[in-house]
Amino acid sequence: MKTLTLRLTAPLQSYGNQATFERRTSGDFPSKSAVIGMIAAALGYRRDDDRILALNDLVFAVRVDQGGKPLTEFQTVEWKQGTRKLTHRDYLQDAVFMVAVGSEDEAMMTRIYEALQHPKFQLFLGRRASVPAGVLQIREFADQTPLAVLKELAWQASDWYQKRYTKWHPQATTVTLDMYADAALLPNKHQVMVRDRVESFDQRDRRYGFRPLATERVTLPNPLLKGVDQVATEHDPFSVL
Amino acid sequence: MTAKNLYLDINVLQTVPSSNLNRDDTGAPKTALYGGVTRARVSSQSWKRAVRSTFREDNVNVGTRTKEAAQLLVNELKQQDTTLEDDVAWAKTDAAFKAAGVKLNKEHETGALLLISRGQLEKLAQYLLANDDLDKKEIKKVLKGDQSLDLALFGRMVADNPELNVDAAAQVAHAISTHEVVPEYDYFTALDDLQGEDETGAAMLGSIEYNSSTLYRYANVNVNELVHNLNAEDAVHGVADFIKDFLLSMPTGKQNTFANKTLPSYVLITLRPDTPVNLVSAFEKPVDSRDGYVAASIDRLEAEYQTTQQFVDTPRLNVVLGKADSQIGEVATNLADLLSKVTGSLTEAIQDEDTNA
Repeated sequence: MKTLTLRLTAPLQSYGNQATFERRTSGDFPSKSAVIGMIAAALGYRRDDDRILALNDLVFAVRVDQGGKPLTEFQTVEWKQGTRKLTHRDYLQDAVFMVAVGSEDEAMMTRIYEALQHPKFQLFLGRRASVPAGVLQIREFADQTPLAVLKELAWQASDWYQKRYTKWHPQATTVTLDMYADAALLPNKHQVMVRDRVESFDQRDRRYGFRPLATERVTLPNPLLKGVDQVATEHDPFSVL
Repeated sequence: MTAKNLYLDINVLQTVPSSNLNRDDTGAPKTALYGGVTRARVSSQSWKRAVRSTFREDNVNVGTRTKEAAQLLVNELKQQDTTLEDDVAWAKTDAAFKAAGVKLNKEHETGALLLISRGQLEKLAQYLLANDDLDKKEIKKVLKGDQSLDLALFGRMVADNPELNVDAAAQVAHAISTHEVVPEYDYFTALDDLQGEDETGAAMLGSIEYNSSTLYRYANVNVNELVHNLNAEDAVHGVADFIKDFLLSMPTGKQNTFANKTLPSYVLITLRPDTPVNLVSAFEKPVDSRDGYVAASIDRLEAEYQTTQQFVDTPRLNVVLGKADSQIGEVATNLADLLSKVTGSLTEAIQDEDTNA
């Protein structure tokens, strides 16, 4: 299976889980449908394109390398002169997510890779105003599932975040990150159904079905404490007897 | 592969003194966390509205966002045919909205805001006066054609009839400060001028939160989409109008309190054949300075531009305004020069596209 990883980061991101007009909430990590929407935009599929549905078959996993802090954006909409409506939209601030998508169809993965470098429509992280920061970092992995890649790939948090983590956990030679993946990749884990399967992005008829999701944690080396021997913190008085 | 991409990136550094341009539900200036510190923030929707208002002042072909589109159509009908009775005009208007699939309530208002352009109203009125039997397809064609610039750039959503939706060609990011900001509070009292000699104390007191910042502002335009929404010639003019009004506009929040209207200090415009690039990553590590933020921010932005060039194709054009000795692109002498360089390169790019097609 060929896998691509994307490093999703920007000051603001938002991954809607239940859209209502006045209050639009965000999940804590990128939804598969958001990433499918991004890939569809890159490939130049318009909202009503049937080819979007096939992208549900991509194998998907995401790792939270730097969790986002929630922000509620307050926005007024002026209906007509003097009549305003108040709305709230939630965002995740300052987050870094590693998304991995894979498929046995290698030609398609190559096409997606090229499309993400030359997107037909602008890419965004959940909301149009959330433009990815810098050039989107994409990496290719041959013969590995998205989950396997994310279990190995080094911690991708920002420098300041890694420094702060190390300052707050001076003994931590490792860091533990949450991963969320297609349940098929984690057959022995408890699965939950989430409303995150794209049925239609068409504005006329926007629909999502359910998809099974499972979670796992991965422990990776803390690159800032590489080569530092962990100081023994276990105190065992019986050992001297 | 199909036609090549054509994206225009607009990067702006603009310093704003004590101000409260865009406030949240508590009246405090909006902020965001980035690189682990608090930044001043001006939301994209707020700055887009400022751009739309400036379009209107500049007489750029701009649409109206209203629930009273039916009233506008009636006015237009009566202007085109001065003998038309009120009830006939209303009957025609109601029929037109019904054919378009947009519901009107008892007050003849649409359920949600509808963005409609001058050209669309004119064409629709002409069509209604010429035809008694309405063809749904024709009406929809009129409502999708003759798009105003802001409709083509910022998109339109019609909840009742999504066929009339237009996907936006521009992307505007929230503006954030290149450095950490600390909120400041202005404590104020107001005295009663006619207060008696024997009375003391203020008649009112309060506080206003504000901050000052050097903002990084970013927007891009998918030129191919803008051509798709308008046409090649209007798209080139439209991009120039957008650049100009994006640079010169500012949200008016607390403008009278702070008189904070500034102009950009530095502008970098890039025309790219592959992908838009938001250079906000230059400021993930906040700029730290005891000597002002503008010069340091410009250096950071130019360095980031250089770094990102390793990963993307060579741009068709890169123009800088505000740094005479810039090494990263052509230097424009003033705004007019900048706009003419951009329109020249855009026209050339679109022509290349046509001959390739």
